[in-house]
Amino acid sequence: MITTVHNTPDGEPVLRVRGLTAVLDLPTGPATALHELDFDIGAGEILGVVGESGSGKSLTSLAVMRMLPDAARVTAGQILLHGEDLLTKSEKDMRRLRGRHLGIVFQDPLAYLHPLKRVGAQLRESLTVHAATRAQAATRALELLKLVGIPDAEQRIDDYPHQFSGGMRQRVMIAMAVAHNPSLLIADEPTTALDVTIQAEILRVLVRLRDELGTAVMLITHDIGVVEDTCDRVLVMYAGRIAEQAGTGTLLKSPRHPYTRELLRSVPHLNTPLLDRLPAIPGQPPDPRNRPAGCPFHDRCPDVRDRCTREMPPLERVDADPGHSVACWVAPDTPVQIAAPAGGERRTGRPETEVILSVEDVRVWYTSRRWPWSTEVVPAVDGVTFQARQGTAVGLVGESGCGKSTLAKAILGLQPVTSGRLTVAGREWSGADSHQRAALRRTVQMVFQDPYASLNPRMTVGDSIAEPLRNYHLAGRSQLAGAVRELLDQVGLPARYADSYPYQLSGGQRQRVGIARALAVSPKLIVADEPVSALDVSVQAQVINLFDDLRDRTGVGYVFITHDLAVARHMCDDILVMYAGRIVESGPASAIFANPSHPYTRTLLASAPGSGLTKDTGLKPASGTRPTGGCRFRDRCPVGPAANPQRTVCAERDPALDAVGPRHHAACHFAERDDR
Amino acid sequence: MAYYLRRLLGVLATLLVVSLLVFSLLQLAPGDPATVVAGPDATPEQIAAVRANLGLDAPFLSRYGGWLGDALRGDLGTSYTLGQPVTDLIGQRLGSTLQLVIAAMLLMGVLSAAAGVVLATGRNGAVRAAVDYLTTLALSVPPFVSSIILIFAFAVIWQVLPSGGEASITADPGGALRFLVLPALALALPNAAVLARLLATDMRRSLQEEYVLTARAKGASRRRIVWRHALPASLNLYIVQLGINFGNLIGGALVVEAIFARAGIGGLLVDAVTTRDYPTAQAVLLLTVAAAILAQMVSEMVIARVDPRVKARAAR
Ligand code: SF4
Ligand code: SF4
Repeated sequence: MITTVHNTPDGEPVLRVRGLTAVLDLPTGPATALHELDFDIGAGEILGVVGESGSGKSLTSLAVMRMLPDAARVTAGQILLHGEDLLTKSEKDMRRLRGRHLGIVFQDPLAYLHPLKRVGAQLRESLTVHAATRAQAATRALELLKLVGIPDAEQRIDDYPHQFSGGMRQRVMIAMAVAHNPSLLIADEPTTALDVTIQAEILRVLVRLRDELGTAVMLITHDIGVVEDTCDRVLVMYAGRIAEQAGTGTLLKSPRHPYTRELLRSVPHLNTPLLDRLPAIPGQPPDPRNRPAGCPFHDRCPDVRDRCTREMPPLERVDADPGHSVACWVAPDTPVQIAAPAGGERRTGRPETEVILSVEDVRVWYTSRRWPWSTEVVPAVDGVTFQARQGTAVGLVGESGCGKSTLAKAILGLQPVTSGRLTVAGREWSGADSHQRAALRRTVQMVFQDPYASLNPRMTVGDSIAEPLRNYHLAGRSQLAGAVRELLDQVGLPARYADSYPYQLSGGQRQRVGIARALAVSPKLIVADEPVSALDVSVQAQVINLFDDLRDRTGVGYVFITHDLAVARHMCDDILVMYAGRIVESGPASAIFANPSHPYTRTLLASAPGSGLTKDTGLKPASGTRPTGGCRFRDRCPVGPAANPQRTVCAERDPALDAVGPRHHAACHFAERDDR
Repeated sequence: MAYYLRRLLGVLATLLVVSLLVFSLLQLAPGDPATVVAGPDATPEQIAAVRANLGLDAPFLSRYGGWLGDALRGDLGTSYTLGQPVTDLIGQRLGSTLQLVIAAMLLMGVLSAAAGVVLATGRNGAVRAAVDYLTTLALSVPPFVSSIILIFAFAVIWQVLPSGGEASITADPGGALRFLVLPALALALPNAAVLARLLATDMRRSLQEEYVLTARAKGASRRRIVWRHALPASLNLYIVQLGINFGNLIGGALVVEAIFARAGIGGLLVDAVTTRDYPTAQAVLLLTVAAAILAQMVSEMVIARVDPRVKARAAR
């Protein structure tokens, strides 16, 4: 995906940032949020900006737009757009530049679109505020919707945002941002809230617009895979500073900064050999209020020297490569290779252990009642069968709305099943009396995506963890403190955290508390819904390792719900791919990732970040109404009747989950066999 | 469509419950209309005869059923004390009350919207502080106090407006309006202050929403953001509150009428309750409650029209 950097005719990059420094006014006093940033973006170039929370990447984009929140202000530097310093412009001049020469796309399109205005009206506004006539705006709005690939643009233009899917909304945001062919387009985590297949489509739109319009793009992301697929150059930010800057290929293959290197190593990747443990970076990104002196990374850096704790390393050019610069005292002169570490296939299913979860033909149908006498049935989970064993992890993957979260709720007894049998450690939720339910609740526990929301903010960490112990009378008053200490130790938190409140902890620490709380009752099964997706990339690996360790130590089994296929591949023994309430493919992780059999699984894998964007997966857009009878995937299937009309069997017969290899099943009439 | 039908069914059910409440509360209250109608010197036999005549000796439920049945046919009974049909009594006085409520409603809408926008977005600190002070003041003064203050200021001290009474709106529209200004203001001010505060709070929240950032990123001016983005988003809550406050207005109107010596249905109600004139009291109470409920329903329907998300739910 590497293209040459086009410069504007006068050789000037579109955006040139020099010495950009900004402070945040916090209750505790001003804190440096951005420190002497230097970077350029040329026309037709996509610059990836990678960093964790508090790294300053979003602040940088808002500074360029001159839309910093009230608490932040730029104290030094220049932001040159085509050579003109934006920092010296009046607000009135900036208004003229915003939307015309500068466009921005934010992360969550639903929140960033006005809920009460038609999509077309919002799009036209982008044009009319810059003196387009109503007629011009109307024509151009339609053109733009087509440009970003909204099907039936003529009909959809008068819809409201809530009538659009997440991916379509993001396309609308992009259309608004590029309405005037801006010189610079900023995209701040534009695909983070989206499913992988839609993420790939949106990224393709961005790349295509860059190619067609020659826009300079600043793409802010935390996802290395997205960078790999789309960016020409990458800026790695850490604690408000640029740690390293290089061409994408160089940065991914031979990074020089220890942070970049460790980050790349710690992120699970779909195409590298599996490791027993992820090489996690210890600690967490520094709090902007309280950044360490010297190199901001020194408390986590494996290569730290004396000097690093005292003096801040400047960003310096790497001799061999003019486009490569790094801020580190000891960045080795010879680049590190991100070598594939030894140790091949790691985990296999462990069929010999006890079955702790058995799901047999489970259906969960939601009924919505419009009138007292008529009901509408939505089959959220539609005949699912699988087992989970002690000490193993089952991964549930699939796009939003596929039924995986409903299934998880049913396993936790939070959602009654409509039919079928669901047994946890030999007990069924349905028909259980209050005594049995209490016993079941001890057997299966939950870990949430957002640990903050699940912890009582007014309770100390110790009390939160002790609560289940008290409720189930698992520890007497005198033993409670000891039990809490032990649980904290199990999840790698020092005992002193027992007296802290959730807000005093970082995201990763809170997730550890969430896990400790789940472990308190010694469950046999833990259901975890996206347990690492809200965490910073460098912290994800730590929590993934913690899950691994706990399984080995306690023999607990996991059901992981995740949209991140690389994480699923690393953590899970077995994988279940769900589509439209059904399992379309199941089997050992090794088989599924090596030989995906179902067309849907293959599209998911081809869309996963880091797999390259050039491939067209052939996936058809969802038609809105799901087909019934026959294969539920046939309206979108790249090899089904939508692509091969002679494959009428797909509409006639429901494909059964048949064996395609050892313990490997797929529900498709044209499934690929392992021994193909 | 089904949505509106369901709403309507709900309203009818509420009205039924209210009618039972109104009926039983009055009839179970101590005091006997027969003694009032028969006069102070009546013998027990005379009182019993009057009671039989008025149908008051029938069992409670059959009385309620009879009244409800008549009411559904449009017959609200005859006043015990005045001997006229209740519908006529109300008809004579409804116009006056309606004028007052409508005038107060308009004032409330205009004043609260203007004050709300200034409070939320005003850039002139002094103006904002002044509006803030005035709304706080209006908020803490109930209509009967504001009535007296207004009368004192405009009728007694400056003598620019009449302190009470009314004129026919058809015969003398100008005069009628002059009589309306003070009572309508007295009624509208406290309600407008509540609404203004509410609108301001909600607009401040709207201005924090992410879509405001999108509008800024498009290059939209602050004025445009306030009027085209934040205000429409806050209108929803405002309209709901407008509907609820309409109920307050009706309640307040009955009081304000008394102070400004207007011959509205407020006076009718007060007389009817003190003389145990059940048919009149029941009819007036039921009518005011029905009007309040209706106002809320209308505000909900307006929202269903302006908010596409509610509309989508309504269409289902
Ligand atoms: S300067 Fe020192 S602490 Fe910072 S990254 Fe380099 S080696 Fe590590
Ligand atoms: S059964 Fe047909 S439509 Fe369904 S996945 Fe297989 S090929 Fe595609």
